[in-house]
Amino acid sequence: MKLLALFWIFFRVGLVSFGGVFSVLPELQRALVDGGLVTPEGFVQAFVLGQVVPGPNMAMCTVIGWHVAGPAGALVAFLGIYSGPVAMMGAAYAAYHRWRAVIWVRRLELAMRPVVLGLLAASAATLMWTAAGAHHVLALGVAVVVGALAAKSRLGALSLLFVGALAWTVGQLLL
Amino acid sequence: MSVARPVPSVADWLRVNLAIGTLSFGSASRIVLYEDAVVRERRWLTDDEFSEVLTVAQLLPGPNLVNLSAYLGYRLVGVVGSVLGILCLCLPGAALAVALSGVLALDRPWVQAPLRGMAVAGIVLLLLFLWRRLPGLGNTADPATPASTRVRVARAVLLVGVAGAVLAGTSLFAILAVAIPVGLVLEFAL
Repeated sequence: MKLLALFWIFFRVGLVSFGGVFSVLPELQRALVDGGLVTPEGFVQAFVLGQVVPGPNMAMCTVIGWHVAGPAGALVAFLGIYSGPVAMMGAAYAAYHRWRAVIWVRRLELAMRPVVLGLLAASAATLMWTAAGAHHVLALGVAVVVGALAAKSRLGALSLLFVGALAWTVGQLLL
Repeated sequence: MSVARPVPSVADWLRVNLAIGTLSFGSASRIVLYEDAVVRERRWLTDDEFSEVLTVAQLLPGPNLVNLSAYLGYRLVGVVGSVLGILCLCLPGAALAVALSGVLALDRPWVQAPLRGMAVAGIVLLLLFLWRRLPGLGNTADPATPASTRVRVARAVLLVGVAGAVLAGTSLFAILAVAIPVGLVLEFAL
């Protein structure tokens, strides 16, 4: 049964997707491309789409589900990839809130803060490299404009994203 | 000091998720949008509470954006509101990705330029977000007592070490297998 197989692929990947889609790309590729469900080109296209659309970059899984088995495939992939993590977060929330008054639970969380911030700092550095591509000057210019507005104006984070989009487009036309 | 703080309704929460789910195009650092909405703009949580949520969301498997939304949702509006919030966050992008996969033209310059601009803006926001989280490294379990200098320095070294290991291409599992015990030793043995 194709739908069941599809669900199982995404469900088990969801359970180990620490940090998001990047950590499980090799496993997804192995299961889907080597398993003959998607062509290598289709896989890369789905990945790129997942990166550009709003929301979580796991959107690529829904695209792959759609191309393998139509709307039902999309639904199965969507439920498969998100249901495990969401259920785990529910359990984590229940456990954490039951025990957070216990001092060592609070200390566990404090102990993990540097690890979490280190992971985020590394992804900021990697992403900067990818996003800038060959346009170092333009990227720096946009970063300065957005940074200055973030510090000096009262614009929200979503507005600042659109400022960045506008600044890059204008900059590219001018340069 | 306790200040009465606003409590979100389910509709408020869904609006936040829908805004992020429909407008966070090409942004590499979408978790900052939750901090912006929940802490800075609406004050539903304090900075320290947000750091706490972030730690749990980041260390458990799952896309960190979805984990964050799920956990915040459970905490702010309960299970049903949380699941609805995740649908608001995930469905618009998933539907758009499926629609676009028929007419792929992502390599055109006029598509690439705004996306790259948003990605760079997103990274700037992520760096500022990290900057705001740094004071939280000086906390201890007792809000009245800040951590000693030794502990702060050790935590900063751990942060830089984890970032460096990721950038050097070490596998995430190997990094966590070392960094988590080190973090525990710093907290409980120093």
